[in-house]
Amino acid sequence: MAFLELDNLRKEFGDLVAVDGVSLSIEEGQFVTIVGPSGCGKSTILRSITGLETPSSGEIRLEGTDITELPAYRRNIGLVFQDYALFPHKTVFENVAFGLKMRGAPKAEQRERVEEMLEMVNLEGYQEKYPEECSGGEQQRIAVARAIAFDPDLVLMDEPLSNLDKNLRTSIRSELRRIQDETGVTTVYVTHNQNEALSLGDKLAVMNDGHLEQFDDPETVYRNPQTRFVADFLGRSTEVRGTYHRQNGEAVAELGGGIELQVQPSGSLADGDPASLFLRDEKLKLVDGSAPTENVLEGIIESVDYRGRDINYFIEVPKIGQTVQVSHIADHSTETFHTLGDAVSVYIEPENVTCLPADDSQP
Amino acid sequence: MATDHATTGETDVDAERGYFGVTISSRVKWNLIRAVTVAVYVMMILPLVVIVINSFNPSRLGNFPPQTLSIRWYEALLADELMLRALLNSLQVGVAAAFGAGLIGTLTAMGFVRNDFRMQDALVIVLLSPLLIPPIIVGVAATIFFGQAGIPRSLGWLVVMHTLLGLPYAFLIIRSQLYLFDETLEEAARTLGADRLTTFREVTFPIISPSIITSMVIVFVISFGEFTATQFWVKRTTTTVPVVIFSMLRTSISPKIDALATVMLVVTILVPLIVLGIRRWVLKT
Ligand SMILES: Nc1ncnc2c1ncn2[C@@H]1O[C@H](COP(=O)(O)OP(=O)(O)OP(=O)(O)O)[C@@H](O)[C@H]1O
Ligand SMILES: [Mg+2]
Repeated sequence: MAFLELDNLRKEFGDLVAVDGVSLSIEEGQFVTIVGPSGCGKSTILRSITGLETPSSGEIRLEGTDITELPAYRRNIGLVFQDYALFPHKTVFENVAFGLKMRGAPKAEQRERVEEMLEMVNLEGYQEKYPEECSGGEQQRIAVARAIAFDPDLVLMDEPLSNLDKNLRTSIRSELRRIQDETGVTTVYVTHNQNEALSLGDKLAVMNDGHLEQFDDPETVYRNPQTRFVADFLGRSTEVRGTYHRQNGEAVAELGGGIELQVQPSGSLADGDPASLFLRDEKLKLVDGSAPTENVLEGIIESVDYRGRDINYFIEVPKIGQTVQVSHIADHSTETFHTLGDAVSVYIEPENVTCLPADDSQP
Repeated sequence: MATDHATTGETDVDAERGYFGVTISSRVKWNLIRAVTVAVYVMMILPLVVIVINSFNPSRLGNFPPQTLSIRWYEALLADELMLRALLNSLQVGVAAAFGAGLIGTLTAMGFVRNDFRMQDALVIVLLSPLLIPPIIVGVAATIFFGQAGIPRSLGWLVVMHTLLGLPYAFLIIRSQLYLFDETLEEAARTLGADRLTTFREVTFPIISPSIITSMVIVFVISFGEFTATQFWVKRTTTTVPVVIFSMLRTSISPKIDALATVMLVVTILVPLIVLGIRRWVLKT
């Protein structure tokens, strides 16, 4: 039995289906991230778990107990809001102690626990300040301390870093991970930032349009996307259309123009099915004419995007009538860079070619 | 450089063309505005100053300026039971109406801001009607209504009616602060374990309380000075300061009126100052 279970969760706002039958099992102590484009229902799921939103149907179970109908204040779940929602008229101490006070903890215990929490988020001595006297990053950490201080069963975070600048985001991101490791509290973290999604969690849920697209550990999701949406959403890749075949025990896709690529097929593909191939830009390698002859696309450099550390080449492949994007780390000492109009070959390993059933509604 | 100069010159000419072809420099213009402003305030305040000074004038005829000062009219005021009673009534009704309108105003504002229901706009008009209907009509209408219902005049009646008259102000002031209130603060409190009532007490009320206090002060001041409608609603024992002043003016011109008016002025100015002062002090600590 999983620690937290969402069972066919559905939430409608009038005609709009915000969450469309999501089922998810989370183990105790896990750090789970949910990622997806804006409006896909991430916040609605979190709000349903805390009880701020009542699902239209489906069930939410915590340690086997159905909590779907339990009012928010009776659940023991901490939530970190995107804009922190610190009480402006209360001091940092009163903010962090609020959950404890609501549970009738004696003053001495409150003081001790708040001190411990503030120490954990590196804000020792902030007790008597008011939120408006704290910087954005400090407020963010106070919000985290407040959501954890009362020892909740579960902590939920709704894009907690989106209001911070980039540097701060990176440092607080690793701090959040450290805090989760220290406290061991089960955490669900919502973001629409790919980097956060891939780096933070033990598990990654990718959502689109109210659906759960894939739920697995981040590496698996990145390497073996199960849907076209996931393949397209995470990382950067070029989508190429073809026909799937099994040939002498090998999975290949015919791309037209006589080109065949060996691929890593998803389970549901059958011989002769139309397929979508996703070629990740960092998995495509520029090769000399001499190197591998299999799984190679030949093309002409159409444009070059030099970015210092990386170089992106856009390579037109005439035989399939498409441009693929190749990104690689520039080795300034040895490399001679390609220029516009150069004829080049691009190689990709078969296991890096994600091959999924094509969606015929989108040619 | 040359173009620059030309442009500047042009603007100057524009500015000096002034109104109705009269050229006024900006210094003169500001002095004029200042003078008019001062004149308006002087005309408003001067009569009040005369009343205050006259209330210390021992002469019955009130020749101005007084040769000597005395507090005999205040002593007379203290000896006049009717006036004391009116003052007490006014204070009681004002405070009660302030609390009544503050409470009902908070509840209705919460109800309107936090819920969506049909006819909301129409209901707002109904709620604001005491503000829109001329007081004299409210006065007569309520008198007829209470008369028909067989309810005798009492302080309670005054409190109810003054609460009603103050309610639109309380509603508007509190509602505007509630619109600014961030509801995720309440959600945060709920996820931390606060039920509805606790959330209101711990979060919503402290944050919107400045508007509640402000509206209570305003309702008090309105109640304290209300005459037009109130004159229909009082009897001898429930009379209020403005009504007494008016009825005394009809029969005599005793300087006691000046003394009573001065007391009224002081209450009207001091109560808001004290309450707002306390509010600021509480907010600071
Ligand atoms: N209270 C509400 N009333 C009506 N529609 C709502 C409400 N809350 C959310 N929605 C709609 O439900 C959908 C999902 O919203 P949700 O806030 O869960 O998205 P999200 O994934 O968190 O997006 P974002 O990344 O922008 O925060 C959206 O289309 C949104 O407009
Ligand atoms: Mg959201």
